[in-house]
Amino acid sequence: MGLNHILIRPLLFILLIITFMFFPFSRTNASELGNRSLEMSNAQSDASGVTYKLSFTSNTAYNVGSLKLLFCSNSPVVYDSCTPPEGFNSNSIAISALGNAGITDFYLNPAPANSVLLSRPSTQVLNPTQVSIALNGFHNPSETGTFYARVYLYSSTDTSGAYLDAGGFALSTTADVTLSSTVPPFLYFCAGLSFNGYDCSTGSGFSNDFGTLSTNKTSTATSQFIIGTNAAYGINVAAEGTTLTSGNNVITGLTTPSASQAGIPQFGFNLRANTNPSVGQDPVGPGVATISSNYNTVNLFKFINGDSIVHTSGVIDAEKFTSSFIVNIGPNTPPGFYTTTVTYICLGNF
Amino acid sequence: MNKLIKRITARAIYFASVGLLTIGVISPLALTGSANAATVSTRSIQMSTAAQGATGVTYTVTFTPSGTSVQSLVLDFCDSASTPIPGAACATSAGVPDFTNATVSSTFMTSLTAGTKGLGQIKLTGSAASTASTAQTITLSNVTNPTSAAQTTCTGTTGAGCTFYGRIYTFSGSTYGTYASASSIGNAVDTGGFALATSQSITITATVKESLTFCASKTQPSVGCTTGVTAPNLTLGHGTPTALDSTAVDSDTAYFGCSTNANGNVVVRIKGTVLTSPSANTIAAVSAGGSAGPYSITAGTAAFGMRIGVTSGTDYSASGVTPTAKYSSATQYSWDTTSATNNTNLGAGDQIATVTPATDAWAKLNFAATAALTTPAGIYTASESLIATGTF
Repeated sequence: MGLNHILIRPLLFILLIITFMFFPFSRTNASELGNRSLEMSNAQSDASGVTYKLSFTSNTAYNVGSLKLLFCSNSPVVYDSCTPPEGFNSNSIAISALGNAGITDFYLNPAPANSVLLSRPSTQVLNPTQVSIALNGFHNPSETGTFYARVYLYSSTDTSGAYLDAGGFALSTTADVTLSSTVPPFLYFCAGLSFNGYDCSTGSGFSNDFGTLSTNKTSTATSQFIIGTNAAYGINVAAEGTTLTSGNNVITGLTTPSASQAGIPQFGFNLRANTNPSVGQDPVGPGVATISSNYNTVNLFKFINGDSIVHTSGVIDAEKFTSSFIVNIGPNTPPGFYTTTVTYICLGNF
Repeated sequence: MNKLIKRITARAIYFASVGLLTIGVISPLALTGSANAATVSTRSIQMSTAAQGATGVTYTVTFTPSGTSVQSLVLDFCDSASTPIPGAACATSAGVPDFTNATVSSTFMTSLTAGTKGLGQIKLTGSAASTASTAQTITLSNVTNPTSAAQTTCTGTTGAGCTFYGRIYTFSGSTYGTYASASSIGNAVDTGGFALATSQSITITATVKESLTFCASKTQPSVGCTTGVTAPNLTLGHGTPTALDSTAVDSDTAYFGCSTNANGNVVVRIKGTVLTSPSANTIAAVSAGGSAGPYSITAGTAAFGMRIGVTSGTDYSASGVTPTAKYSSATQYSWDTTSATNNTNLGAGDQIATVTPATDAWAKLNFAATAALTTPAGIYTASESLIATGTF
């Protein structure tokens, strides 16, 4: 053994050890695809029909013939082994007609459930550019949490050979936020002499005084009611009560829509703005209910116990109605203190 | 016995070399020179890089001359098949440094300049003689190391081929005495040998995995969503039993948590439905699903929306989260159903926040709704998917 060997061999031996310490893997010259993302249309675990949009920027001009997208539960590192995510599959995927850019001539090849193989009809030059490929029909992993994907570009058209560039992704499925809310059936209804706007809390009074009745003049009074409901099949408002009575004496109620005539005993009402006599107002409010025809003609009045006066076929926003009452007496109307109570009954059909 | 002694010697040097290994720094060899020459002592040649084929390398030659008057010197380099012994055979066809473009600076002699220089050799001449007997340094810049092509066995099992040798000869005159070649060094005053070696550059690589941890929770999740994650099931309403009506705007909250190293940030989107009853009645998106929010929700005007507050540290994490403008409000809401990537179309939903690389990013999501007087009775539900997409 010469002096050279005695001196040189230890040195080379050490250098070799250092070399292998720092080079445990032998890698290709591929680089990492930049600006890459993999966007899911739905992040819920076990969701079907999910669209995955792959985007990346190629680093340099090279011939690209195929692409592989690989889904793994264990690692995004492109040279690691890959464990397929539980429940994930790409069996029913299709290339979306929308959202593709950079390479638009890919077609799908058969592939294992956790991967996608896209080929081009022939290898074509891909200059540095942003590539986007949308794929429909994935089934998300059944577990909630992080999983990974990797993309590889190949110059071959069948993903054979060494890959050109590659890159990894981290994705996450998560539970959906669920919201629940109960909208109860409700009926917004109130009656009184008057209201501000459509606010039932502003009602004032329940008693009207016609004053001293006269054969020469029609006496009038008004009251109001507000309706509103979310009853899907609408509501019906009826007026119940009697005509004006004083003991056994009665002022006849109008059984058909009739004009007011002073000197003739009459009691009736409608829901319109009248001119003869001048009393009342038309309905107001965002709601649109239907007034029964017998109570919907200006200057014609009627009163029959239990008559339906307003109805809707569905939900209705707030609407305020004004009841215009008229009273006439004749020369033979017995004197007395005439009263009545009219009750509005609103029935919702939910 | 001789073999045993040699083996013991070799092993001893193995271990000694481990301690002394510094790339490019080669310990001087105690070698003999020509018959009448002295040996320069304490000599070394340090390369600024030992990488094979490296250019622009600086060779720093250090030695202590004997003190005899000298005015020129020659540096020869021989390949691994040769030896560092002055005057011995020296092959320079491959595997030696190239001094063709080298420049020189020195503390040795006066105005030391390069004479002949090329592959494996450089000659230096001073303007005046030197009798120094203390340590001297000659710096040779812009040298090209032997290439890996020339040193083909550096990665082999023996390591042979990475080594090359240097020799130094000094002469009393300015024209290198009777020096003729590396193997015919003539009347050198001092001589010395060196052993050097190139090596493959040590490349250190480390892989950091792409990471994205994301969760949706009714309560605020812990860092990395490891704890504190509860089912994000929300109820909108008030009273007992809880109901949604036209008298109030009711709200409830959920959180998302996110940890990521995505250097291009994470976009958090939401995609789902408005509140819908089994009979397909809906509580519409606020402001008809407009994209220019946030908008106010007024009790009694049926509407559904979501917002992230505006206070960092309270409504969202102190760092890492930037709510999207239309969802960033203390009181107003959005539920965009009109943009291209809106909440209900086939896109990935509407962006509600951006998350920069962070270990503990989170945001509180406030969902709110009110019913109108006309909102049909029923149990309304909605399912919203939070989608986090990292750009790596």
